[in-house]
Amino acid sequence: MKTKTTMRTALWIALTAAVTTPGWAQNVEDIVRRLEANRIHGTSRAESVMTVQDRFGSRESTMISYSRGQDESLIEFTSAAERGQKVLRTANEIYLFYPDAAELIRLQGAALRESMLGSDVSYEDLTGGRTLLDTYRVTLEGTERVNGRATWKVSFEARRRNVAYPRQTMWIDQEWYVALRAEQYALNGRLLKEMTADRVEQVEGLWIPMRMVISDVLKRDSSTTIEIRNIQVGLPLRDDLFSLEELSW
Amino acid sequence: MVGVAVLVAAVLLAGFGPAVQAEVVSRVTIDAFNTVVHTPGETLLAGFGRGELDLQSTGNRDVRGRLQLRATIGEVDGDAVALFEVPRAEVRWRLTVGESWTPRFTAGRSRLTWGEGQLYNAGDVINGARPEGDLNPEDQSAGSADLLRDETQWLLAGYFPLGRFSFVELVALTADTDAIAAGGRIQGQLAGIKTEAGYLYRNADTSHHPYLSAQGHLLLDWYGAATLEIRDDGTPPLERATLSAGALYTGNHPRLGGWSLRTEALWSAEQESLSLFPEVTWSPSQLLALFARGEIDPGSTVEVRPALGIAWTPSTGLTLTLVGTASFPEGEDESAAVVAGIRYVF
Repeated sequence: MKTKTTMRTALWIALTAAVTTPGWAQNVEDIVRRLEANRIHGTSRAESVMTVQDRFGSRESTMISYSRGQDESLIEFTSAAERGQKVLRTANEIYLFYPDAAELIRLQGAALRESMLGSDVSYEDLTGGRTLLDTYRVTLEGTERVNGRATWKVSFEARRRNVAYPRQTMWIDQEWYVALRAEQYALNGRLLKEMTADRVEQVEGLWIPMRMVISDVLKRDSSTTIEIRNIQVGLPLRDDLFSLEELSW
Repeated sequence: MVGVAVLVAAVLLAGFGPAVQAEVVSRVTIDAFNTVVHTPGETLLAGFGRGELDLQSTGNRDVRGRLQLRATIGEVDGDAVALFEVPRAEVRWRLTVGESWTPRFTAGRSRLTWGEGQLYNAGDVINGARPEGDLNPEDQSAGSADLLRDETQWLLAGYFPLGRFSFVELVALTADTDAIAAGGRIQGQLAGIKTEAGYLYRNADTSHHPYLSAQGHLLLDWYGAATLEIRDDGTPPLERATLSAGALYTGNHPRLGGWSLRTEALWSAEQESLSLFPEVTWSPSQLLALFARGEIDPGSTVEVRPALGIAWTPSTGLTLTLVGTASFPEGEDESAAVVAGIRYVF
């Protein structure tokens, strides 16, 4: 779920907003609260490139994404092969729109596990609603350096069974409160996905991971890189942006 | 006719010119296919290419134009084939009423999808419950059934939001003055189920087509639609009922990759026919998909039309496909075809 959150951050780009007050958190809950405060902010608009790569080849897609708060996101693909395809996420719904078929698809149940546009990110990874602390029990396992930066290593244990990733580990930058690395595990302890953020920039006072690599480790040589080319935060967005009308426009 | 279509499209796109001030993005799709068709006593070789230019306006938030031109050329055993189409030529205009209510209007040749269903959709009173004719192998090159239907119509439509997840849509199909059709639909959610009700009147045969469709999730994704055809000839409407239903389950094996199972059924009371559409897809890689699908008509004369295919995307925009299809009609000649295709989108 944590990785899920992190990936959502990259996708919607909204997320890593940082109240960048340096300093040491008093306990692990504070660290996670700072992480969430850093990634959830009012509004954002981002232009990104997603590159899917595995042993069979590679494919690049470009997209524009909008987000408002934790629950509302709209992605529109702008690359030629997928132009006009959109994904709408609200607190309780995920809808897809295929412009050539003029078709609105509502995703539920097992369909949420489908890969988004053939990437290592599933639609399930985009679902939100609860905070990390609502979903997981967290434990501070120590400090480690990631890419030369001091991080807290925090483990997440799901409080309930119906979460995408029952166990996760995150390495959270001690200054930026951004997850520089994350691992997601199945209930049986098998590692499912890995995420690294190898470029973090400050935008409008917020620390945002501008380049992330997500790997489905069960798929050989498979990775998805999401790179933010341009991002605006705190911009005004129309009230009806996250609706079926905008999705099918 | 094509010339008229292009002229109308040009007029439609130019009509809003001064107001649009829009940029244009283009998408070019090039397909090349080589086909071998075998029937008893005859084997045909065919090669053909298809080019599609798709122009879409951007930059104006409230006006959109789209013009799609498609040309198909090829040879079937030495005979030249050429076809030019304008699948889409549309202008859409959205206006804001009050603070945030945004009805919109569409004019031109476009596509509306009503009801629920991939291949079979009894609620699609505009395009029909099933595509006309057999599915061509080249049309099956997509890794899933999503793109099996691509019909467009000349139409005028209005879309009126009722909330974030509900709306009313009105349409008039205007292709032929003798075949004008008009109707509307309302879509929303009832108890968590995506629900749609609609109606279409066709002037050509003075027929009324009310329908209902629904989509939900219970262990697996399910969807269905039902429509009646009501005429003044005294035939009970139920004798012209059409029903469709489908279910989809997707999974992801840690080692083997993603897979999906889909089954659809279509029943026509008038023709007393039942058709089935099973489909299995398997994606061992993010860029490779294999599928097996088919149509089965288990009527008085059983007919089975299976298809097996593979779609591989080795590079951005490039897709290689290999599809094999066959037809086994009871009491008639069997046939088989293999299509190797390459598509580049840029």
